[in-house]
Amino acid sequence: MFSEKEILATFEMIKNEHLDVRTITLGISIFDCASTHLEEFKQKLEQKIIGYADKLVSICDEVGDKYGIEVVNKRIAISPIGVVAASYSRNQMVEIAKTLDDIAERVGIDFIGGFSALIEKGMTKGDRALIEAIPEALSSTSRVCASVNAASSKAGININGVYKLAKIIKQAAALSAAEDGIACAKMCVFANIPQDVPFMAGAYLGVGEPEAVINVGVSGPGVVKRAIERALVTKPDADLGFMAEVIKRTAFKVTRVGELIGREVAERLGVKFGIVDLSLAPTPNVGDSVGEIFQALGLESIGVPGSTALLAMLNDAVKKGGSFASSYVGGLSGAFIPVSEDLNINQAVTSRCLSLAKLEAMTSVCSVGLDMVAIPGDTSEETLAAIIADELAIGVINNKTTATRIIPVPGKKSGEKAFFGGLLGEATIIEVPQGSSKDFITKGGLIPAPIHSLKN
Amino acid sequence: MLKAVLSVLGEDRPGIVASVSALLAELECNIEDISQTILQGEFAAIFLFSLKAEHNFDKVAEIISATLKEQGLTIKLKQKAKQTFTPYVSTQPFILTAIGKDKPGQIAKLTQIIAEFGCNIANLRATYQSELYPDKVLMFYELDIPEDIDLMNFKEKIMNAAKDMGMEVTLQHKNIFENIHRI
Repeated sequence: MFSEKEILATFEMIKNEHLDVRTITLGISIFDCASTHLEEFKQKLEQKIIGYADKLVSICDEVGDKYGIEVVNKRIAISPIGVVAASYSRNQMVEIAKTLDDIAERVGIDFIGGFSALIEKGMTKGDRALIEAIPEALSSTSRVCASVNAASSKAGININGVYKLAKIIKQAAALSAAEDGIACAKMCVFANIPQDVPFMAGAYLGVGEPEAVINVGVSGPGVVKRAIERALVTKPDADLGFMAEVIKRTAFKVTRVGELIGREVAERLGVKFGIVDLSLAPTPNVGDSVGEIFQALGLESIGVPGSTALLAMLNDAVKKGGSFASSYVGGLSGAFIPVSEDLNINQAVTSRCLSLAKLEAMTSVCSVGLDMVAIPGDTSEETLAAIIADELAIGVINNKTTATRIIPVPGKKSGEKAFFGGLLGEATIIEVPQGSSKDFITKGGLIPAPIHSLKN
Repeated sequence: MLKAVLSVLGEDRPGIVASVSALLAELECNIEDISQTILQGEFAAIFLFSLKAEHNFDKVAEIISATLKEQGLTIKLKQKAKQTFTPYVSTQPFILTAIGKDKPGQIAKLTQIIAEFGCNIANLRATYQSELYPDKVLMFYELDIPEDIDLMNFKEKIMNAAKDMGMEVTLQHKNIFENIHRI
């Protein structure tokens, strides 16, 4: 028999603290679909993906119902199209994206990831075709997500690639200008991209992954915040060591939920269970925000001095609790600070407590990076490339994943608002520091891989 | 072997279990299972015990009744029945939690639906003055739900009934609690 406290704690987490499983992502290898005939390739994609994913949504709902925990998003990640479909042209890549969009719609999921390329050391013919197809592919589909790995700790930073991607992002924004450049919200540029991320837009299935695999992204910023608030009521003089312990215990619980549900979904689908991604992923709802955790712990707002230290503690405590709860932890595993997707973080931009510089500093101690950041539409390609390069450098030097999902909102200036809708939320456009980066970025080339000793 | 069930009710005080079990020991009865609880100061316990083959049930029952009544306890004693209800071969353990403003008939309504679907209540607690919700009634049902029933339909009926009575409910497989709270 469970105690009243245990049962009520669970009841509260679900009813009032937004505990859910944020995403169950089915990874499907599509290497065996490769073909030099486009029609054949499309047909094979359809057969294979639908074959595995046909029951994904219904099974996730059934398992969610059984445990009384909602599986909010069901998604698919496939092998990188830039590799699998390397023989195709830019226009054919756009057609592939449309096929993927149709498949996603047919199986009832909101996003399919894997329109991806790995270019940290240079671009193949297939990578180039895929990257050039991104603006049209993402603005003419609604479910396809793209990601490009442009840097790694072992290879360095491909500045030529970053510059090209900055141009691509600007084009994608222009093609979806009517929706404030929403195509850019479906595209990430990475350093050290993990092969098993379940979260979009960066999800793809790496080459070392199994045939089909279930990876799970947990949620829980609301649960963590309430746990902190409750702890402060019962122990008002609690110090940060105590608060870290509270976060750790909460992360443990949240992770256990994710793994339990993920394993059962994998079993029912007849595929392997991969990993739990421990990331605290917010939504644009009050009470489901990473920014609110900063306030619960005593900062006036996310972005004020102290934010980096607080985030470092939060991120580490989440990892400690999560890695005790599950032996198979992967993906990004940290706290997300996506500006538009977290109501509270966006308010911090609006009130000017949070600047681009502080956001960048914070990404050195948490997962992801400059995520869902809206910048003025007139930001130059070179400045955008430089912002991306800065972010990737943090990942490369610190042996961690970093990424950017930046939206240069066409026709809008800093302080104005961009509206993306749904889980993508809305963003106040953040100010970009003045001064030209042009002569640095246009030099191009590869920034060499960093030394892995002399760590200071 | 002859087995008997004894239920004991009375105002709670230290020593009730001690005196009942001492009496059973004196009568050479072996206690196999006990369940005891206190509800708002009222003590309630069920003792399941076995008697030696040479014992006469009626005689033992007489002694127990007389002794415990003297101590101000209300008792009921009967021979353990042969089991006629066969539990479902395969059931799944679920926990139904219901919280809301207290009204008469809530338990009756919920348990009626539970019974209609052939679900067995393995454990039930309802409290009216909990620390977290002092003004609400809390109910926890541990249910054995047959695997062959339409779980969605059951859940929907329970949800709707609870909503009509101003209660919030959740129905969850027991594993979720095991996973969250136990290592």
